[in-house]
Amino acid sequence: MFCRSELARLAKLKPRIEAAGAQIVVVTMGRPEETERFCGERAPGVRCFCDPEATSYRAYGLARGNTDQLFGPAVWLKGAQAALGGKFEGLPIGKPVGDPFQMPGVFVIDEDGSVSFAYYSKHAGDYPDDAELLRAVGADGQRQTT
Amino acid sequence: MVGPRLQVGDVAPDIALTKTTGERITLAELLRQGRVLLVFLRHFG
Repeated sequence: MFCRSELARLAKLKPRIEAAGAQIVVVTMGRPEETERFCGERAPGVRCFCDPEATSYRAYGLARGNTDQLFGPAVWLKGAQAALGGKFEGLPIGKPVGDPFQMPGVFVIDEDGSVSFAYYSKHAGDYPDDAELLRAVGADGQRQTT
Repeated sequence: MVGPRLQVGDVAPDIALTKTTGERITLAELLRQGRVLLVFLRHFG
């Protein structure tokens, strides 16, 4: 469910992110046809790319999660918060696409190829909040480097 | 093999991704169009 919420959020923030001069590049572990369907339904206009082997995840230091990171109390709490906040995007339907143990992450890469923001999720539902994400791309007039 | 965690200021690994149309593209090519917010999602379904 968190990937659905994250995609919907990116679609909502897309105008501000792009106005700041950044482009959104979403990476999934799906095959092209699966990714096109999933992103097209959840976040039309957000560019999604595929890496079924998760090679790029590993290149960015994104590991497979442990039981606590994937199923622990923090994950349940985040899910409950999403549901109560009206951000619940529905339970998964059908067979999961990609490695269910793979942890997510968010980065900002500058034009010179350097990392200006790196966020390694502490658990499956952990992504930078809106303010942090917008700061990271300079959409609030300031750049944050973490 | 998982690589080391990246820090601010590190050179980003130049990854190759597949578009939903099946064509390949590298991060370096994407960066020619401006800086990139790179979001790695979990599995979906």
